[in-house]
Amino acid sequence: MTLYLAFMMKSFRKHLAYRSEVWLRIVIGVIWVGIQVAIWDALIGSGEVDGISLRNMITYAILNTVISLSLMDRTLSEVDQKIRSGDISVELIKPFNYMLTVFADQLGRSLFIATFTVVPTVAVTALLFGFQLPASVGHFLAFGCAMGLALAISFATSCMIVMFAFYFLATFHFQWAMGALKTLFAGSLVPFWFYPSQLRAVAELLPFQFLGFFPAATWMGELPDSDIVRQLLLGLGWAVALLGFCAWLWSRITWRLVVQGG
Amino acid sequence: MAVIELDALTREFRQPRRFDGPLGAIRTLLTREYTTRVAIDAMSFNIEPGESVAYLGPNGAGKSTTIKMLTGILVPSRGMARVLGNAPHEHRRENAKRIGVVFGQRSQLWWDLPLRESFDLHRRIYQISPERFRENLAFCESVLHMDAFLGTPVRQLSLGQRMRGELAMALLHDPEILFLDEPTIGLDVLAKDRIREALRTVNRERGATIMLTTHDLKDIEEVCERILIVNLGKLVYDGKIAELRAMLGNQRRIVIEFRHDPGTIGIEGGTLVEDRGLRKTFAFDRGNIPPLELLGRLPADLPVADIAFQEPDIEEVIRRLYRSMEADRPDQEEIDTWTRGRVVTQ
Repeated sequence: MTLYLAFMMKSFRKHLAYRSEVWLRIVIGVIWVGIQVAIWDALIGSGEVDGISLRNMITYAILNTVISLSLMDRTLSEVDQKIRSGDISVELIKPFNYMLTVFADQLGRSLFIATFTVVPTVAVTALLFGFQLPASVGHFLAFGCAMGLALAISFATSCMIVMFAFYFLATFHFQWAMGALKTLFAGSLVPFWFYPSQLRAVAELLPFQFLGFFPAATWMGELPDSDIVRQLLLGLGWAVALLGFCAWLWSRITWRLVVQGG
Repeated sequence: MAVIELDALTREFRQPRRFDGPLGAIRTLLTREYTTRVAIDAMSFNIEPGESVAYLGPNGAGKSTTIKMLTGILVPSRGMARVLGNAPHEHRRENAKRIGVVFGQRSQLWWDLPLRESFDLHRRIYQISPERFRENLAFCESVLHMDAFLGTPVRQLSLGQRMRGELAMALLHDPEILFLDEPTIGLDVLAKDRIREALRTVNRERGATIMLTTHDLKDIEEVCERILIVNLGKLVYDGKIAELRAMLGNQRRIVIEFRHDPGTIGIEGGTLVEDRGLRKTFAFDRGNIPPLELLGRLPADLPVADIAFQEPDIEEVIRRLYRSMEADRPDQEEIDTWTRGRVVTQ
């Protein structure tokens, strides 16, 4: 356990080395929020649509921007490259669980981004456009849980892409498909409030809602308490299922590398 | 007890059969036929604690396949491999703590971290006690001369520095066996020397068993006492370097340059093998006459300008061995018929 903690801290420190990236991410984050604010300003103006005001949408846009920034979906390139080049065998020789070290590494990155990108981005955009605080302490805690699920689910989905790539020798298609699913079902840009009811019903069953809509809506107190609890449990189920699937895929891949020789 | 035991170890690789011709691609996609290639063929040998063994062979002979099986990242098809008393693939993680592995072509360091931090992670992975870690790190620093670049991120290191880092990583947890797959590949002379010196020290002073593959025969001469040579998955030689040299080239040559042509001369016990007037080469049986005595046998009044001894170097010896193996190797057509004969329909 302390080992994986060490991996996390190393990853945190590693990102300190890339200082220009931090500034760039903050600037891009602010611009991205600005664009969304402009769009919602044009669509909603000073009135309300379905009880949602421009002020609500600004908060929603800020939240979703920083949620996307902190997701653990950068696993791809490193693991993918190791599987392709055969360097993965080096990891198999070591007395640890490789996928757990990747997880710890990603968690360290997210922690770094939360501290050095999310906080300043929220501060700047809040000053420029205004920002709503969480609806209550309880909502804030629920938001924390939702973010935990978001991290776990984003890690699992990006791992799945890498592992499929091992069998099909192509990453692009899965990445593209996953991107499309996320765009539609995470609700990062357009909240589910504006979705047709059937589509919303489907979206509320899928795991992608935890990568955008659900944590943001929870923060804003836009969901009834019973819904929050139900969705958190659903998310927990998804996280366990997806991570379990990844673990199974990973054991298949190691088996194949070791028994069939790649 | 032997630390490495191989008994009729065999590894086969199965590949979907490929077809040629215009419809070949489609048939290749649809085929359920496989060709089986034997990479390691019923290999047996033992390595005792404290030995330093060079594992040689031409490209594709099966060297890396063997190392992979001994480190537990490849499962044998048949036969038995034991490392420190365990089947490596069944006890991969337990064994990992007791062996050190260096792949010359793959890095085990963390790319973005300074070397020092890679070592620190390594300490946690292998649960090395702080005192032990400090001692070993000091040892590595001194034999590998690493103090100048310990704080540099790995991606900024030169290849020679990186390889020294890799070797240090493999040594920090006091491995009982070191597996080295081409540890000096691509390095300059100085860096190679440092690696070899470190390996020698680890082997002689710390008693670690070393098994290394290499194409650089100086590695062998300076580090290893015993050599195993494989070809086409079979062990073709197992013995001391000196024995191999004796078997294939038991001659010492002496080249004498003269200021002016001395005419026909002879030296007792030697035969003239090359005569270019001013430069004559004699061959002697090794071991019979010490070199200084040879010089004494030269007539004193010869107009000698320069004298050079030529040892049959191990490189020449191995080259001759490989060449003789080439001759045994079936040609491509034969290999094709051979694999076709083994097509397995599923």
